[in-house]
Amino acid sequence: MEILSGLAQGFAVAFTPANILFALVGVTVGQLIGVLPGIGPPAGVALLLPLTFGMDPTSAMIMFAGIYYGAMYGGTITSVLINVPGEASSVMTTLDGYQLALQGRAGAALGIAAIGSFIAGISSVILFSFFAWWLVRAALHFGPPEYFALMVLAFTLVIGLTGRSPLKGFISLLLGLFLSIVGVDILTGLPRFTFGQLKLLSGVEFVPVAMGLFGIAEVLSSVEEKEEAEFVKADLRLRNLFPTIQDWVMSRWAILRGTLIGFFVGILPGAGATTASMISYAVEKRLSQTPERFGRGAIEGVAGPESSNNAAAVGALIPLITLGIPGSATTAVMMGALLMYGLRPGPLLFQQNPQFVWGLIASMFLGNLLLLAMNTMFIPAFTSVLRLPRAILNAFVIAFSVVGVYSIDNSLFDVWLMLFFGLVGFFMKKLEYPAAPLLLALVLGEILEMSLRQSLLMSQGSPLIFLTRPISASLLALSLVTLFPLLYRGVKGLSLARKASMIPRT
Amino acid sequence: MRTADAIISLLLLGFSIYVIVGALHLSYMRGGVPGPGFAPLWIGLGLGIASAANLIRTWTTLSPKVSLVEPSAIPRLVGLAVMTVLWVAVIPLLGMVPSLALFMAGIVWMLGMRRWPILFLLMILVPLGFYLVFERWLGVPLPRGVFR
Amino acid sequence: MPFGVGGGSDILARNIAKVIQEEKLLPQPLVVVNKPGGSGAVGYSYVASKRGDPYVIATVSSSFWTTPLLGQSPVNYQHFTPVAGLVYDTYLLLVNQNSAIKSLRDLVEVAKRSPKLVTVGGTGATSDDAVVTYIFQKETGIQLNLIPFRSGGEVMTALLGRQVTIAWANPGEAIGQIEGKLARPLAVAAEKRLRQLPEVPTFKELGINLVFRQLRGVVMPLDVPRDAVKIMETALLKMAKSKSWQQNYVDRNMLVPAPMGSEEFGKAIVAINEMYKKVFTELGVIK
Repeated sequence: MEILSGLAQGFAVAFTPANILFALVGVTVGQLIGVLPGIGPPAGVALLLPLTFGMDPTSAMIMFAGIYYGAMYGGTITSVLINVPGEASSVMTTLDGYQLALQGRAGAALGIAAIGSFIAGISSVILFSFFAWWLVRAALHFGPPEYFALMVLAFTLVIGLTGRSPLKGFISLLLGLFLSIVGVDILTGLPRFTFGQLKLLSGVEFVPVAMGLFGIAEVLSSVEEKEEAEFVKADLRLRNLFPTIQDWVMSRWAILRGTLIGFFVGILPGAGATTASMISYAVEKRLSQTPERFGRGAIEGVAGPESSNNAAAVGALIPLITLGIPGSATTAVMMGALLMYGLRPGPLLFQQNPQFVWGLIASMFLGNLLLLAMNTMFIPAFTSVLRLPRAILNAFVIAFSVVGVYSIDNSLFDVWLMLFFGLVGFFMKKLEYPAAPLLLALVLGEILEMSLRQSLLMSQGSPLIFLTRPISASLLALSLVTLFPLLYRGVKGLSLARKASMIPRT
Repeated sequence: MRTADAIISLLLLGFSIYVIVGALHLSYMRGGVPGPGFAPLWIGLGLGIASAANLIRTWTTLSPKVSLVEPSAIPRLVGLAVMTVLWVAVIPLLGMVPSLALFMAGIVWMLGMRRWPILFLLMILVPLGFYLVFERWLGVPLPRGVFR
Repeated sequence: MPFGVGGGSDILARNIAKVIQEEKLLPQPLVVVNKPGGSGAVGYSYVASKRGDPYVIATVSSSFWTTPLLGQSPVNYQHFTPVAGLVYDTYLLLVNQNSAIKSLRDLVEVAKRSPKLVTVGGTGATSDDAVVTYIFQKETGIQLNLIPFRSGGEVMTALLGRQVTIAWANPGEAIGQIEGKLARPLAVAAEKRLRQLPEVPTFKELGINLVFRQLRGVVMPLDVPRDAVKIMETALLKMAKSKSWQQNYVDRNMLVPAPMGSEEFGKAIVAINEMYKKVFTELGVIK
């Protein structure tokens, strides 16, 4: 009951004309930030920070939260239309979203992403209001051994992502793992494989690699095709601009699972929206009856990760608001901002500033509604980008990627890194090495190695720590279970392949 | 296709040796706990085995005889790559905005769009748009080059 | 500004920019530019390369000393002109609120009985957390088990989830959890008790010679005209006296003001460098 009256109070705060306006400004800026590659939500929040001095902290925070989840919607657009992930957490969307766009179904992909994000956003806000405390306590049980077990589970799921040649998928995965260890080793302070580059001491940035492997590589391979080849055999009539009933039926469980995965992974301070969307994609492919459709335009492959990253954005606010701990770069900037206003996030915030907390929660209902409206209304406008002549679009994608990647850290090194991975991505594509395992391993590899070593430090070298802790033991058991069908299929596939190899292929 | 696959596998094999050697310079275990060299060693070994297996596979299985890159497209591809690299190389010299204007016009012309009014518009509007969004609105200090 | 958005250095830089602008201490507003990468190596090299340019300043925090000492940056403190010191930050030693360890004495006893059993959460093996842990062990003769995490947020989460027994945190980072009765401070590594936490004793009072101060200030590249350094120094020292600075930055982040002019700051920089050098040599991370 307390929660309901809190919510009611919150709605009274959030629905004042001024706060509606701030929510609108926040989500609009967030949407734009999401579209611009490179510039992410932390930079967006930092950008608006000076404007908010002297403002009511609740209004400011409503705006900041709007930027955060607005960016999750916005990142989808470039991923689907031009294969350039606008946000790190939208990388998985490019895999099937762009394929759908090539089939002329960009509208369906954008539509289902908007609907999925909306459902995920709203359900996460509801979970937030009712179970925040309970959930955060559960999240605290996640120590290094649990993170390790979770990563093992994620990697066993990834094995299903390897595409046509498992061997090449495996190589791609290992290359990603290699990239994840570049930089100063946090546990010892020793630099590893930095090739004498200062910038690499802090590791290989994810966004330039992702934009190279997808955006730039795609431009190269599209230039290779015949000059006058039609870009998209698209039927851009209005009827085709929105998802069909069938799309919805295929996506609904993906949206639900994506929401739950995203929300919980978002709460964990060591993970984040990118990890959440990757796990969600892997889960959807694993559970699908027709996994071969993934990577060729499966609508669930868009719905799951997109719902997941939105839920994660809401989940990430929970440790900030309840414990006063920033779990991600964005929440760290928000925390700095709150301190500047004289509000101290932490366990006392709920008691001392209920109208702030509940106002923020209520505003997220409004913000998600605004974003759903914006994103469905403007689908025709977004997709009209695809009508641009191919030459102009390609030039634009390169310009956009270069300037965007430069703006991450104001560094040309990242631009060179992106161009390098553009070339790598082009050859990987030609030789049928899948790019997704590399990116997954780059993100998850760091947590995998680190949590393994942290756990063993905690247990002074005994691997039993993974089995004596209930959560980590059950996650490891679950990974073993998910491996079984694969092993079975592997054995079966091997005998089939042996038979097949006797018949010469043409 | 097969030759390219084999060359890449060889390159990967060489790279895996580099990783293994690098890993051996870092300690494998430290006080009974995996050290900084633990993960790289296994990654290097895995990469070596996988690329060796792939190399063998390229010789034992038949694959369609198509060339890796469509021969007629090579000039366009190389042109695009060279222009992009040139652009990024001159950014510190000319500044982001002016060099972007040149790049836009050059690349669109090369990719087959030869209508001058459109090229001219692109040269003006795109850099202006990028300048307004990134430099003015987002406050990104774009490289100025010698004209500052 | 050699670090990304959201960290302690970023908050400092943004507050300097804000107060300087509000109080009109300089004719032009300061623009905060983040150049992160390589624990400050990228940003500091960039600023150092702007020799003679009076329009560039950089904030200083512990990486200013530690990254070059570890051989990971081509520039060290000798490549900069000191401008002004601003504040000290210090460290609190924390336990979980429900921990059986109630005081520093309990902790030392437990650790003496079973070496390496007490786990410490910290950020990295060459961070200030590691340095304080080292000094603490040396002064008390105990052995702790340092578990490095990627960020202060992760360390705090690990402490609240009782994944680690104790943890170090800046007072400003931990005050929310202390007030919310989730974490309990055992002692503070400052000279005097903190004004906002008067009941927390210093290590010195408890007979342990552990004082650790993280100095934050501002530097410029070499060969900058003397007048320009002077103008900047005066502006920053004026800023440090302003009410807005006291209230919005120093008090909220629970810092100790330490305004120092160029010369004094220069001496402090050298002294701190010697301190890190000594600890790192003893720790065996540098030779």
